[in-house]
Amino acid sequence: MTQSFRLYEPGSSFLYRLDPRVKVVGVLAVFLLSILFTSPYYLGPVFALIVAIIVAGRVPLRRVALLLRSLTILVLISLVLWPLLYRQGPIVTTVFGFPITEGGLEYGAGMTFRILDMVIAPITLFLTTTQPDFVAALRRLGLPYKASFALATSFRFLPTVAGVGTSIVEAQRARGLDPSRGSPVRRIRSYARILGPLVITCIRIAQQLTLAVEARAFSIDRPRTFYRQLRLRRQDRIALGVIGAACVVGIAIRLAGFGLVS
Amino acid sequence: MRDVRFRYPTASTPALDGVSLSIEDGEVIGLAGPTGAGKTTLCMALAGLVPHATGGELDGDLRLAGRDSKACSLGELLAPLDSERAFVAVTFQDPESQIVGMTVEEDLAFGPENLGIAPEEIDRRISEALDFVRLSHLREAFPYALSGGQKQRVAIASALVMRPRLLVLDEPTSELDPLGRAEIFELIGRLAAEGGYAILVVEHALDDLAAAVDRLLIMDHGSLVFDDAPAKVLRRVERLVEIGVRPPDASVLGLAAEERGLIPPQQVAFIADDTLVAALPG
Amino acid sequence: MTDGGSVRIEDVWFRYPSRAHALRGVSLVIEPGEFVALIGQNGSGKTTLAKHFNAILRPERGRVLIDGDDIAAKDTADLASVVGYCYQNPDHQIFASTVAEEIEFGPRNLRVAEEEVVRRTRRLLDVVRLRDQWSAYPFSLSRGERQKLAVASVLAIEPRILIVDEPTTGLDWQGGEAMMELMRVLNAEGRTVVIITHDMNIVAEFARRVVVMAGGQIVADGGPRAVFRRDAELHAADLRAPQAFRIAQRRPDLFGDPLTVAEARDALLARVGPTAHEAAS
Repeated sequence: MTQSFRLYEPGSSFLYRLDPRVKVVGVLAVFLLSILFTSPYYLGPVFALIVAIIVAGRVPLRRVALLLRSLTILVLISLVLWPLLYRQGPIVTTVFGFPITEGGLEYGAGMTFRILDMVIAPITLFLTTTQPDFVAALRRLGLPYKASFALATSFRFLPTVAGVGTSIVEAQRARGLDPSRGSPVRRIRSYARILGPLVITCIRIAQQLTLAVEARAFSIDRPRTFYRQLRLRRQDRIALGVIGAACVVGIAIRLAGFGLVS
Repeated sequence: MRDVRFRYPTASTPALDGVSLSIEDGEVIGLAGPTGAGKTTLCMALAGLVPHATGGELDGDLRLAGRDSKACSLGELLAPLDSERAFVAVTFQDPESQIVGMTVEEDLAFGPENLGIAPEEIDRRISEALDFVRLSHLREAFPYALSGGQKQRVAIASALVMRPRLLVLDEPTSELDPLGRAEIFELIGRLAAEGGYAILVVEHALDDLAAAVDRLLIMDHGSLVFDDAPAKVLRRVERLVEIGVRPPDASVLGLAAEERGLIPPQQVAFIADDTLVAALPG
Repeated sequence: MTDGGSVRIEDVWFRYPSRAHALRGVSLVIEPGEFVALIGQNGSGKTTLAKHFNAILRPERGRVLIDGDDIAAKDTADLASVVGYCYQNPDHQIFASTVAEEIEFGPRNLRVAEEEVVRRTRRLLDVVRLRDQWSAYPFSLSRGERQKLAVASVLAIEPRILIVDEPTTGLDWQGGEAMMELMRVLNAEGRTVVIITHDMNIVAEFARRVVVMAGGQIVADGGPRAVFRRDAELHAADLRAPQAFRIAQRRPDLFGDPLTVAEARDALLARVGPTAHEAAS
């Protein structure tokens, strides 16, 4: 009933103490490395590195595993489909008449690591960074204030709107309306009856919010300050250096012609 | 505020119909009246939101800290350019949709950030305000998870950090349970005792309100019907019932006792049960 | 309208996921035709309990019986024709494009005959005094009118049990009184009415039985006078009897044993004759 829609789990390791901007840059670096390579011999170590960081950073592994569970199907599809579709190199075996190649197996493994890398990195970011810190990081990395305000407001009101949605569904069920029953047409109409009040309520909240925001001098004509200050400390600079170096090394390897499934 | 009239853009009847009112520094004022009497509109006019954020036509003379509401922009009305204090801060009825921040702390910071106040000063103000509303332990909390009373206290703290000269609380308790109400009235009592700003509280229930304020306004159909000390206003029981505001039981029973000669004619009405019981003979 | 309308709650326990128990062994019997006020602070369990009456929530332990039938196997939507539940915020419930359509929706959905739907709608428009606004867009009505419309749309199903969560919140004094007068009429028709409220004046004036909840349990249950006298239980639930009742308790010689301020005033005027001054004039 009171889901918070927050991934953040309080902690105190170096990952928590790191400047959120460094963590956002780190995630972008993982994206870059994941896209640079296709070979599991390169993407695997990236994965191992992330896991090592997570373990060393005492990120609750149970939470990570729980969030990854929703990826199981995607991972399985990637493991099975790529070897079936991608054919290169010597044939290892034949499944239902489909030849499975060495290259195909490699590619499937590589793509699976790519998915895992690109999902675990942001999960780690959100598990160790509060929403205000995340928004502040994006703003300091160049996101315009209005956009970061909109992002912050959606974080703030997501649970509110979800709560309203729950009570609307309950109120309609109490009147004999069950959206999970009946013909498809009936179901669509049932959902429309839930969406209507939800939209109206959201508009009301938005109107109220506009007044509340204006009453607190939102559109005053003077430069705004930011309470949440971010300061790069020594460990942040070191981390940025390491991330930068990793990216440079990655690009160099790729330019030298390594890292792809041969 | 002199003879102020206001009509919302789509309305056919005026929401404010000739209201004259002046509020001095440090006054603690209560405002009551039936739904649609214009209480919220009056609050929003005092905050400059009417007409600047709502549209509509404003007539008459409305001066906030001496500045003409019609001639100034909302920003100028809320805070003079050189000031780190807002002229007025307002909280609204619905506890949920007035909390902007992702956390309590972020919400409190929002107003002062807009005023361009230095981060260290914001930090000091947040600590003070949370201390005052007794929510220091929830500084990092997520607004959605708070109780109604706590949310309303966050809203009041978010107004306090603006260091307003006038604090307007529009029906702070109407969505709260009795415990939440008690929290808010206890807080209003301490705000009044602290001084330093004028307070205007809108409220349905006259018994709690009358005991908390020095001056009581009653509105009906966009006009002020009463503007006097609460104990004087509450002697007009029949008129209050006619307007549609429920007078405190003690006021009603006190008048009946007077009528029957049980107690000598009074100048003022009874508000608390203790004072009435003490005045009754035998 | 006198066939059925009973609620029987047997040792019900309930907890929301990952939280402490919201209901801790609640037992309660409500007979057909009763007018019950369920009171207590937010978090005391009163709304959680009421949501068990139509299986919006299901007990972790214990049984809920409506008219003698265990509702464990029934669905909320199926119970709609027996138990009407009106939510606190009317805007969560209203969706139709006219007032009349809103009222008609429930019975139509249950396949009630067309002329019967029309008859019920006409009557309810009169009862809630929205006849002139029958073609209005529901969200253009005032809060009080929307609240009445929400109740009317639940009533159109003609449930034997009507539960209304905070019927007077957001309404002013007169609006609240009008709303409660409607509850009184519906109760007089033989329906069981359960209101969930914080307003002790409303309780004093309208309820014939008061159930006080605190900490997920029922701490007091009885007629309003009896419950208002139980200072310790009320105090534990952070509630207070209405002011007129408290004053009268201290001076029963003057005010008698009233529930409402009107009764207290009348008692005083009847007990103490007009003064000489008044008699002379």
